[in-house]
Amino acid sequence: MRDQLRVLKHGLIASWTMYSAYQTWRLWTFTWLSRLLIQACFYALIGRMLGSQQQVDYLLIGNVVAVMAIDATVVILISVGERQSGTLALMVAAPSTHLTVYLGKGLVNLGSGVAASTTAFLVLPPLFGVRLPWPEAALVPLMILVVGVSCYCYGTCVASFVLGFPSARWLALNVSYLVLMTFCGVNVPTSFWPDWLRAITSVLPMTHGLAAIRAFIAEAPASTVLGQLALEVCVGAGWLAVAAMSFTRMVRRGRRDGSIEFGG
Amino acid sequence: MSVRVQDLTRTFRKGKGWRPKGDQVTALDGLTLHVPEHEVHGLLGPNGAGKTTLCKILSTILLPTSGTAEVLGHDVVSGAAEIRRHVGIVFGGERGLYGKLTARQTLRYWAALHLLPDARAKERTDALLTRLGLADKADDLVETFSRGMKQRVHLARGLIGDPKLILFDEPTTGMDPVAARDFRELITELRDEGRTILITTHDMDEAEEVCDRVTLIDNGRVLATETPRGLAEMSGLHRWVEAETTLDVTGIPGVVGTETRNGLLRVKTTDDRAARAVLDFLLDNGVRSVHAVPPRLEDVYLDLIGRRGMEV
Ligand SMILES: Nc1ncnc2c1ncn2[C@@H]1O[C@H](COP(=O)(O)OP(=O)(O)OP(=O)(O)O)[C@@H](O)[C@H]1O
Ligand SMILES: [Mg+2]
Repeated sequence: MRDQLRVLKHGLIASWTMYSAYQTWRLWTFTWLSRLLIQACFYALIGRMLGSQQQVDYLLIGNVVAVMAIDATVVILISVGERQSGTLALMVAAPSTHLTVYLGKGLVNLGSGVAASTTAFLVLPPLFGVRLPWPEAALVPLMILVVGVSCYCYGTCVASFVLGFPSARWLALNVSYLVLMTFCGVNVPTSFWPDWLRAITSVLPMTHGLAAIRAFIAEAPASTVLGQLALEVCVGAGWLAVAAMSFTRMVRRGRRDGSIEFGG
Repeated sequence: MSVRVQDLTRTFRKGKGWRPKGDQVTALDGLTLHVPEHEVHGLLGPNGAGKTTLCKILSTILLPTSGTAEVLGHDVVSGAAEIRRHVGIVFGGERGLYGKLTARQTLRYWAALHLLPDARAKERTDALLTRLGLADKADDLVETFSRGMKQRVHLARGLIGDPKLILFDEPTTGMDPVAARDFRELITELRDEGRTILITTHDMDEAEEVCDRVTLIDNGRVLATETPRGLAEMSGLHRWVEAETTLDVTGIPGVVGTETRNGLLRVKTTDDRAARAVLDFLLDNGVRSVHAVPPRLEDVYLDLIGRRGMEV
């Protein structure tokens, strides 16, 4: 366990170093953050066009939380990056678990996503007349973090599959987060979907966490909020478990078919 | 025994996708190899002989098709986790590095993946950076390094986990002569520290100098395993005599041929006796810089593998 935490830590340090080689605060704020804020505004404006503050509330909160999903699933690209830099063989041949290494590597992006969603949550509601129950609303960023972690587990799981199909990485990334954007109650309530689809959304990350945030803002009883959050945590843990198995499987397949190359 | 490989076979299917349907390629064909502890063992052979495939199997990133391979007493299939703790791998080329990390950061990262506690990792990182002459550049980005310096980072990375067995796959590609000489010294030091080393190389002089024994591989099969010296003796190849002279020696029995390069006469003789006779003749005639040259590993290699040129 100590070993795994250390791997996580050093993966995080390394990915932070690599991330900050391309990214500065100013760059992040003026390109990435503003892009995500605009995305959330775009949907809120649709709500305004529809003419009801209720729609604005719904769409804005949904999208404020959802904008983090892109960052949380970028781990999909990172997993293939390992093949591109030729370090996959070294990683497999090292005694640490692959899952831990990967988990550590995408954490910086997760942080970026959570930061973006939190900023959006602090900045946008007043602009669109969305009323929040302050000071309790200060707890929402924590819930955003929970949703982020669970999306991250989901992303890691997809990453483990993409490791076997490197050419599908961009497709996988886009599909992964669009699925969340579309089906998890961001723009339309999950009740809109047929039962079978709703069953699927209930095992996707974000669905329960977002429901918890909405319930919290609507000042629903604490038990509802905590119940939904607990479900979100369970969903995340489920994806993580699948990711762990799938990484093991992908590596086994790579060892069998010879696709883990020295230097490639 | 550090490495015990028995009847090892590995085949690949050509083609792409989940289940390639192309022709079958045999990379290793019933290969048997034993490397005792504390030995520097060279793997020599032409392109496509199966050297890298063997290294991959020993480093647990590739499974054998049939046969067995044991590393440090653990089977590569069932004992991979144990093996990974004690094996270091280094391959040539510039890949396998993160350009945006410094040398020090690279080592700290891999130290964690090799499960070293932080204090120990720091100590080993500093020691390896110094040992490989990277101390001055320790905090520069790896992408700014020259090829030979990247290779040193690779070496340091391969050593970070304090491995008992080190697999080197063409480690000296891109090193300048000084670096290559330092590398040879490093290999000897590593052996003296009690490590076992398996090294593939196309540099015969290097193999001759550092290897206790070498194995010649061709088409996935072992042609011979011997000391470089023993291989030369065994091969029954010609002995050469070299001298700075213009004398004619072609009349001496046992002389097969002569060539002159930069004023240096090279005489090819059938065996030690003939070489002796040429030496005596030259010394009697007052030639001073004379010496007999046993066949070099390169000659043996060329003889055994054949002068196939570019054919693979
Ligand atoms: N992943 C793979 N898929 C298909 N064929 C492969 C694969 N890896 C190796 N081979 C084939 O196996 C044979 C042995 O390759 P290997 O890389 O082991 O040779 P090598 O001795 O290391 O050669 P070199 O000196 O060029 O590095 C070659 O014919 C190669 O084409
Ligand atoms: Mg090779």
